[in-house]
Amino acid sequence: MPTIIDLRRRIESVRNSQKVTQAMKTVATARYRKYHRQVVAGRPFWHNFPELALKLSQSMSFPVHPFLEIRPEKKILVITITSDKGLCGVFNSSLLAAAQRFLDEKKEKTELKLITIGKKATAFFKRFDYQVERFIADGVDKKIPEISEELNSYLEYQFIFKKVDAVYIIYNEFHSIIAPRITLTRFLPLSGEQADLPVDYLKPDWEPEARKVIAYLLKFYLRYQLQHFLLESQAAEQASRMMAMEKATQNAEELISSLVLLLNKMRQASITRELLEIQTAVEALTQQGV
Amino acid sequence: MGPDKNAHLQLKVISPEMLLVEAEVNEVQVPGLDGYLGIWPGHRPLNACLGKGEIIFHSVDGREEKIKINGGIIQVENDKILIFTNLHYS
Repeated sequence: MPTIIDLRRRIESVRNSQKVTQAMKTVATARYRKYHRQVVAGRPFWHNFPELALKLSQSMSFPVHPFLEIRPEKKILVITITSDKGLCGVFNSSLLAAAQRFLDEKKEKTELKLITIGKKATAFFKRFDYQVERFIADGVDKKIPEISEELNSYLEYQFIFKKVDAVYIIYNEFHSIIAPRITLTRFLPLSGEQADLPVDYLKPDWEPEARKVIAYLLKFYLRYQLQHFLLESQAAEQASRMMAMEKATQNAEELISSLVLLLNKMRQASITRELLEIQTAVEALTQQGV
Repeated sequence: MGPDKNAHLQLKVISPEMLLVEAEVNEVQVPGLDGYLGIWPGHRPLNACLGKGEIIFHSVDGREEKIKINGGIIQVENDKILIFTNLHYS
C-alpha cells in the first residue's frame, strides 16, 4: 500500500513526463507541418511526371533503355527507410515487420542485399545475417537532397552493371495523420502500363533525339523519386510521433487523475481516522468524569 | 499565315518541390540544349530536353515573366505545354 508521500511523488513524476511528451508533441507538430507542406507542394509533380515519363519511354520502338529492362530476379537490393529516433508509435516496428515478411518470401529464390536508412532499420537488421551493403543513419532529415543524389547514382550503377537485377524500396508513405501507409515499390527496373497511342497520333519532334531525351527523363525521374520517398517517410514519421505523443499526454492525464483520486481518498481516510481517534479519546475522558 | 491571335497556350511549369506556374500564355521561350526554342499556339508535338537558362513567357494580359532553371523536360501537345524542371538556385 503506497503512502501519501509516495503518491505525491508519483504524481509529480507523471506530471514531469507529461510535460516532456507535451513538448515533444509540439516539436513534432512543427516539423510535421514543414514536411507536410513540402509533400503537398510536390504533388503536382508526382501526379503528372511518372505518367509522362513512362508513357514517353514506352511509346518508343527502339531497344529499351537499360532502366526499363526486366531481368529474372537473381539478386535483388532492398532499401528500408525508417527513422533515426523512436517514440513514434508503431511507425518503425510495423514497417520492419513488413520488410521482414518480404525478405523471408524472397530469401529462398534470390540473393538479397540490403540498404538501410535510419538507425532503427540498421539496428534491426544487425540481428540477422543479411548482407547489408550500406547503411545511412544520423541526420537523414537534414541532408535529403545529398543522400538521394548519391544513393541514386549508386543504385543506377548497381543496376546497369547487373550487380543486382531489381531494387525494391519499403517505406512509410504519408497517407493521413492517423496512420502512414506502408509501401513497397520497385524502384528499378521502371515499369508502367503500355501506352495506347491514338491512331491519328501526330508524331512528336524530339530535341535532341528521342533516345537521349528519354535517358535524361528517366534519370531525372529516378533522382527525384528517391528524394520524394525520403520526404514522404519524414512527413509520416513526424505525423506518427505527433499522434504517439498526443496519446502519451492523454494517458498521463488519465493516470494523474486516477492517482489524484487515490491520494484524496487516502487523505480523507486518514483525516477520518484521526477524527475518530480524537472523538474516542474525548468520549473516554468524559466517561471518567474529568 | 501568322499565328492565330485568339489561340493561346496552356502553360504548366512544375518542379519536384512545387507547381511553379499555371497560366494561359501567348508565347513561351525555353532554353533548349542547342539554344532557345520559341513556342507559339499551333506548335507541333514536341518532347525536348532543356538546358540551363530562363523560361520566358508572355501571359495573355501582356506581362512578361522569367524563371531561371537548371535543366528539365518539355512536352508540347495540343497547345498544352508541360515543363518539368529543377530550379536554378543562385
